[in-house]
Amino acid sequence: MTDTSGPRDEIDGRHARRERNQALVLDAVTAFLADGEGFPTLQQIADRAGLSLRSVHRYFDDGDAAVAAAVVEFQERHRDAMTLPPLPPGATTSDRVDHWIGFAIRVQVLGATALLAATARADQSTTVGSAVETGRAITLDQMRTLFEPDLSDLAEADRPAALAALHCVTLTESWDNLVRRHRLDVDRVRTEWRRMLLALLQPT
Amino acid sequence: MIAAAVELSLEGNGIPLLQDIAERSGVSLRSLHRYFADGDAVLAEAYLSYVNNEPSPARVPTGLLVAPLAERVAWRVDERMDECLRTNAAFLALNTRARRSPRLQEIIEAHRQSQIEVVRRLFIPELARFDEPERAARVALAHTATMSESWDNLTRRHGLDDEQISATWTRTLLAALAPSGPAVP
Repeated sequence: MTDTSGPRDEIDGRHARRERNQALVLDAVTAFLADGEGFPTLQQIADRAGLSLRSVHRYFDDGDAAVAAAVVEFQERHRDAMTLPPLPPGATTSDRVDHWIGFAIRVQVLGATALLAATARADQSTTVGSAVETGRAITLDQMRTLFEPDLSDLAEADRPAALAALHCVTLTESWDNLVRRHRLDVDRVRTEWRRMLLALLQPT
Repeated sequence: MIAAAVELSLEGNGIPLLQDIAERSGVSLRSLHRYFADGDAVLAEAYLSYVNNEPSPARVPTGLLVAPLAERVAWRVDERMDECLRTNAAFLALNTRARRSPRLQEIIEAHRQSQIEVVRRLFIPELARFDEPERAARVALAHTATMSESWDNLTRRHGLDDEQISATWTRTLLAALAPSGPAVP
């Protein structure tokens, strides 16, 4: 049988292996963050991915670069879940509040632990900080767009603070405090967030 | 020594080594070892020195407890704003370090619990209107309203000034404690 493999196949093979190993590393980092185990070292990432430290070093200079890449990859992988679906025309304030809370809870359940672990590193790493803040800015933009009809009913000077207040209510850190420290269940959070958002959207 | 530990921590050195703290503070490593087992222990003391001046349930003025809700909310907002202005950067930095330090975690959690007790004590009349589990939820919301992370979000991401933060926190606290109205359709 003739060996038909050549330089092209070799390159393809290396490329596939590189992609596979990078995916293993990113999965390992995401699992690390999602488990709330804190910020991983490259050695811990290598152990979890089942790769040698040398292999991991080939793809990422340090833990910060791996975590930043994992944050971006997580956002890409869950782009659909992290994109607020449009509401049909004629939606009311109450519809928008329910829509937002359903979305916010889905996003928190999906990624709050990992996001908080990455955020904990953000003040020491501009690479991680930038990846985290990009995701947070997208979420905030979606909130601003959704509640635009309600915010535009307020005096212009009051809008930034009103949006900020809404944002604080369903912030990942708020979710974490309510669920982890105060042990509220998801239904209770949903009920209370609904009440809070509706109250905050009332004109003063 | 404590000031040096906080400085190093805020500079991004994580839990600083005793050697680094010794160099920064000009105290010999041997002297430092006499007082602290490791950098984690110095940070724990540093954190305690920060929070010692913050309100504990016992420090809520007794007369305030019978004041109208608006007055109690204003006191809480002023206290938290003052604390955040003084200590928030250090608090959030130490809080992130606590992920790797059970001792620091324990101290920070004790402080958070003390803050929750302040809320419970300050808003007894409003909380008494609710049965469990709603009462627990209202405590949780009132505590969450003025958390350090909220301050961080309002200042860093939203760029609000002190007056706007005060108004935002007041509004959020009042919403957290408001009687349950009829369900909004």
